[in-house]
Amino acid sequence: MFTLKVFRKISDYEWEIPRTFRADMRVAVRIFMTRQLLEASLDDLSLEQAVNVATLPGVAGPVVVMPDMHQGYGFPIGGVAATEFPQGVISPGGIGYDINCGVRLLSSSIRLDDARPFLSDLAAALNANCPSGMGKAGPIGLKKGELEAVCRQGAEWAVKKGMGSLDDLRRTEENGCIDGADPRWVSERAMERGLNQLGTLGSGNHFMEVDVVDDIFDETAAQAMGLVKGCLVLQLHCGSRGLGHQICSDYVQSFQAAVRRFDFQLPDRELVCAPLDSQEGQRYLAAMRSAANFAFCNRQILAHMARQAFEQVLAGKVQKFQLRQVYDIAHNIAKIETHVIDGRRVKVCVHRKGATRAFGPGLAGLPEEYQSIGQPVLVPGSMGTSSWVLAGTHVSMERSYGSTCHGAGRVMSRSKAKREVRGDRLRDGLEKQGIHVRAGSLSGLAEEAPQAYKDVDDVVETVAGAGIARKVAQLRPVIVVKG
Amino acid sequence: MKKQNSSGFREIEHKADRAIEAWAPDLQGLFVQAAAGMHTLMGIEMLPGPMVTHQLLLEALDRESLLVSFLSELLYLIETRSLACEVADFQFSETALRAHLVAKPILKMQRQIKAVTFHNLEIKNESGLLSVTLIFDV
Repeated sequence: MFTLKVFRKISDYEWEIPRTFRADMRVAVRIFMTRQLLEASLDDLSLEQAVNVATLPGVAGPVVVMPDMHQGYGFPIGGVAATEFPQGVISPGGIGYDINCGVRLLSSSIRLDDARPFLSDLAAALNANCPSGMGKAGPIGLKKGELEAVCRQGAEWAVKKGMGSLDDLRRTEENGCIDGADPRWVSERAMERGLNQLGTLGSGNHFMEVDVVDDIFDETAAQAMGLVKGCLVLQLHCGSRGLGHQICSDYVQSFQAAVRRFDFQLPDRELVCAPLDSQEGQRYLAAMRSAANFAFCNRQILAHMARQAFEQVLAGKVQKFQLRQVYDIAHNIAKIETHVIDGRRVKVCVHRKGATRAFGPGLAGLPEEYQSIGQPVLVPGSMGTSSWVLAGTHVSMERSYGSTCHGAGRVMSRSKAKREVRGDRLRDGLEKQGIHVRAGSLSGLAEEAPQAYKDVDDVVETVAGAGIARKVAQLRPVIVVKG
Repeated sequence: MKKQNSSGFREIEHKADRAIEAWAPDLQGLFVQAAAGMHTLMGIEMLPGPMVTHQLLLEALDRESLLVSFLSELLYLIETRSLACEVADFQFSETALRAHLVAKPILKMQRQIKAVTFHNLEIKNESGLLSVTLIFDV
């Protein structure tokens, strides 16, 4: 379906599929990729999925795709779409099943050389403290009323219980709580699935990782974020667990009828949607925000348990074992924001599916210390490879609805990765590189092998080249904990 | 092997998630094969021993929605009750089903499935053989 002739080249890092490419497109598709990455993306359905998104009713401007894009279901992973508020639509599939899947980064002044003798113990303590894998219950059994409070309050709920600080909240997207959450629109079944999963990492590509700051590209920004070359940091990647999965399932199912009611013609049933100002749209927004707040709280509690692990292992052995929050950011979410589209300031609903908010300097909502440098952007790499800390830019505000990439992006199916990679050999190879691995399942480890992903450095070079994020620091893993 | 009057499923490649194709001569068989395919993807092994029964009554817009509802119900029982179900009996219409399930406790599971998606979902009828491709979010 796609050949390079389809694309209009804007720059070495930016391409466009014009609106005229398919009759049902309402807007163009803007692609942030090098030629090499673009050619590689022709072999799956991701570009077709991006074109499908461009047909959504009320889509306000170009659909944007990131260099880590890969095939998903409905929306491509690495896609951003802005729909007019409130007449445009919201599409649960454009946020995904793991609502507010995201990344949290904490910095330290622990030097790798000082911590090296204790890394194995630290890996064991993180693995023991932070429940991961399938079916693992969290440390906090909630009653329904408490879960409703988590859905309304987000990370603040955990901070009130002594699991973190106000500084953590300040350095979390939306201060760890999105307004407008209403658990009345979350099903009983979703609530039931959330009751025992708070404070759990989950499985799949979710992880906890200790990294060392390997390189600094922007001293001023790194200093503001507390990132010091040669010191340890902690990354957490997880989301809203079964609560979010069930909410998305419930609304994708119920929106099947909404699409008929509103007489929307869609190329894929996973793209079902409803106007933001409809009863269906409002209820989904309220439920989705509840799950987003659950996820912020989940990462807050996991960070607390990770801090306890650092204290258990490193207190008295290194000078300062404390972890300070750098930022916490969602990469599966819809947010109501204002952006300039075709020279007009427009209030829109930005769907980010496998894409990270990347607000530039001076934007409302950023903590004071990040006002001049832009919002921290956290880009985990594949297992065993670099991760990156970036900063949002003015260009991201102009070209990508204040968004950028979220990771490396898959290039190989999970079943192929499992056929080609042996989990035990992968673990041994990582251990030889000095990376301590704790994994619940060796086959799960194999599915997440580095060769199953794009090179995250290529992805980061692309967003930096396009100007939709700025490089701040490169991280190298020393401990990986996976479910 | 997909042949006339046969039933079965096979995993098909999907870059990020997991997918199966299931086929059967009738709707009941197709649902059974789709459930078996999903259980296989999850690497579910059941405990031998006593079974519990579970009744299911589902309504949906059409048979594709019904299939997603049915599989989602099985996922819910797997996650919240640690039970894997087999179908003992089905009664169908285009938009509703009543199922009598027999469930066994799960001994082992290799992989979680987060959700059953509607991505390009269509139950096809080719000369009397029904088939469907299902994408699961993992």
